[in-house]
Amino acid sequence: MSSLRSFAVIAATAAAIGCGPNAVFRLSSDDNNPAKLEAALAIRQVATTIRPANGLGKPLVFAVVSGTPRTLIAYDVEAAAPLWSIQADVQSRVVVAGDVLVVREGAAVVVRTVATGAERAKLAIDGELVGATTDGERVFLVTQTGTATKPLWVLAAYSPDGSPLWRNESAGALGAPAAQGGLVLSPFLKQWLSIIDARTGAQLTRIRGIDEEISVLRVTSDAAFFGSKKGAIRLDAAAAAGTRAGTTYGTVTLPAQLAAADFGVDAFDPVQLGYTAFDRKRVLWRAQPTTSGPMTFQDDLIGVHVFRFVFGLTPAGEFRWAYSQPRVPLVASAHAGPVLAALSRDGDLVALDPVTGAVRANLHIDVAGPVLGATLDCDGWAPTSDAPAPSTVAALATIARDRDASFEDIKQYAVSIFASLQGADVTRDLLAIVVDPRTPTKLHDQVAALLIARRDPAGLPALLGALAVHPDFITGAQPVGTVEVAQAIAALGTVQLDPAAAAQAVTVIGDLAFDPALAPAPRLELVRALVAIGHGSERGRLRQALVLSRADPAFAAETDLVTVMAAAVAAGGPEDRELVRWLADDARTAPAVAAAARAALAP
Amino acid sequence: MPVPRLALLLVCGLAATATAQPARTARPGAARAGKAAKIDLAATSAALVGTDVAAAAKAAATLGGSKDAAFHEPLRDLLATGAHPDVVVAGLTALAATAQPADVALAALYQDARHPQVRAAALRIVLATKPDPAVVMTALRSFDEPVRAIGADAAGAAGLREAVPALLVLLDKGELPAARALAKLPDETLAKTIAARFGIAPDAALAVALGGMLVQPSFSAEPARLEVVRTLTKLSGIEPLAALEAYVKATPATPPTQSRREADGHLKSRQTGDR
Repeated sequence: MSSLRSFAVIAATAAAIGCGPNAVFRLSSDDNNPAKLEAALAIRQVATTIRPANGLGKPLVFAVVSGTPRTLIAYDVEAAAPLWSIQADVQSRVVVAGDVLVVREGAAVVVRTVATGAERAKLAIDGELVGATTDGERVFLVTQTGTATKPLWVLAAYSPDGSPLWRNESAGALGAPAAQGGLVLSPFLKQWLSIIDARTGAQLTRIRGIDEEISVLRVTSDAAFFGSKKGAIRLDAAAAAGTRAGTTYGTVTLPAQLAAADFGVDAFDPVQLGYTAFDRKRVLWRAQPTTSGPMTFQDDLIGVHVFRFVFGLTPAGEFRWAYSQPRVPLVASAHAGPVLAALSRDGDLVALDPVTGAVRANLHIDVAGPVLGATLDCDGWAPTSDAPAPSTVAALATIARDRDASFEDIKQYAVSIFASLQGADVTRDLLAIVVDPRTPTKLHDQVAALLIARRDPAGLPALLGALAVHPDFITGAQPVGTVEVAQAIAALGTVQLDPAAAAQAVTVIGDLAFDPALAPAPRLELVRALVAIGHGSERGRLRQALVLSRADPAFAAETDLVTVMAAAVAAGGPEDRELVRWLADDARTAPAVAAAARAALAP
Repeated sequence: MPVPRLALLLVCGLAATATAQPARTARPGAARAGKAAKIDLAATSAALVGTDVAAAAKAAATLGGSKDAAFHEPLRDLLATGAHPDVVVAGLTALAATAQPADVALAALYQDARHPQVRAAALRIVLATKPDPAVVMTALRSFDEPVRAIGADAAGAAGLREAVPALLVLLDKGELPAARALAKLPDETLAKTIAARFGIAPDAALAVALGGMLVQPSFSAEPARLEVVRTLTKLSGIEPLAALEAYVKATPATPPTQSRREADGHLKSRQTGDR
């Protein structure tokens, strides 16, 4: 582990010159000590109910809006009105606890009052800011100073008025900290989580991640979690085990197309100090309180936010529901307990039922420019709208047919979900994707394959509807997607169909198949479909076409078509075979047609 | 090899009906011995079913052109069992002037044929017998010009108002059969609609439609005629002048009308000027 070796060298050098890090951040420590962890957790003050972190006790959104300078808006969700708005050069995430708001503005970290936005203190940044947080009573900053060869990280505490309280140094990388109820959680070298007394800066205990990286922290009103982008461990007494198996550990299995979604902000990534595109790909989760592991997710469901879309999934990755935000991406999202909250780039704040995806609230924050990012301090927000759950099919169709070419993976995921759904609506929506000329080739092919593989009799009317358009010189109409539709109908040949529906299908298909303006490829597939579902009832039409066209060179040139037709007629009764034999032998039959007839009669 | 009768019955009921006509008692040509006697039925029938396409086409034209229905029977047998498109076209084209009901039924089998000339020839017979609006509209929507022309002719002859929107689309594309069909639907409103396509439809097509309408006896209201004449005078090419000439020629000088006077004046100015 090169970072550890590096740390060891620095630590040794620092010790030699007598000005190195103090006792907090060391390679050796009494890690994973259950008794010390229990003692540390005992002093933590955690809410017994889900509630916002801010001292006003009401759900607030802190949105950073683009502009010169940027605008920071505090929005009161329950009042559906702005609480305050200030112009500030916001350069980081907004962190809120109690009446304290911490944010980087320009070259300093500014402490503001939540209720008014008024500035309380301005803290100079010594070096590069790694992260800032607050527990409502103190402000904690992690900065990186030193040189490229001898970097030094500093975790420092201040009062909300800017007075320094304590300071810890580290020769190893510290991540952005989190604070909760008297504890500071400081990830160290991605392997340890130092739990520090917020009042004194003393390390109370330390957890070593034995088989899980520690790069992500999450603090809610009622719990704290640490882990990696792909899983989280609840900070409880069991966390002293340090292993996934021994702790209250939770992870999810995401579909490949959604796998880019993370469990939280990477505390070691300087880019994620601010709001970025990472905030548009999040696993939205909340854990149920448990006495032992593994972690149980609320409602046994999670949300996955990917740009404009939110999906409801089981932890195993099974699809439950989908939501599509119109037009613009959702730039921030959070699992608030009763709802999933998300804010769009143009200021729409939506609350989704975590179980059904129903929209429980849809508010709008007036913004003068695009929202760059937001902190949704909305724990416990429970809007009461009783809007019905959206149609899953409609939501998936909206996603799959979205004009935005940026989300092909997501569209393909939406389409793949269709495969597990039944009904005429599904077929109709899949068809709409197939016949849309703007559908990208890859998506088109995937949808066409699903359409064919479905073999859903309920979709037959929709398929036939797609064949209602004939070539029309007057209107310029041309049938679209006929090959795929015909193949989908042909696939129904092995399925029990309602006789009346099958008879209608034979008529509709036959009408288009023998439209003289149709191109050879769709005609061939339509005739194949006719044979597949006609079960003999189509022979009359095929006989007529075969006999009347048998000497037409253009017909004879469509070898595959002639072969299919001759075989279908020859598969009939003795009189049919007599007709095919005559076609094979009559001198006026075009040679290719005669050959197909002979082949059809071959044993 | 003889055509399997049972197999033919399977092909389609309609063809079977035609081919299963009871044998005629009269010898072919008996009714009109003068001309029919010149057709060697045996030789022509043999040529008809031979493999020489040109000879078969000639035989089909000969048999189909006969006004003696008895000579159509070998042609009907041929049509019912399929033949080279050239032969079918020749037979159906010849039958256009002589078709009997049994011929029409067989021609109907070919109205959806893939070969455009075959389809046009079949539709000419079918629509001349019964201008079914649905069939007319199907013909107008065809991507084959000969078929659309047959549809337009039928629409005009039958006065099918429901075909007007389609005919106007074809007019915009400069299709003269559609223009001629519209001319056969004289109507002041339609005349204005056509005139409003000045600059959209080709002048020649507009002239044919408006000029044809102008000489229809039912298009007699002087204000409407005057409007049409004035539209024709704005059009370029020989067709509008021909239309105005036809109008002047078909309209008595007395009582004098403004429309005739302006038409005549325009013609004289072009004769002395730049025609």
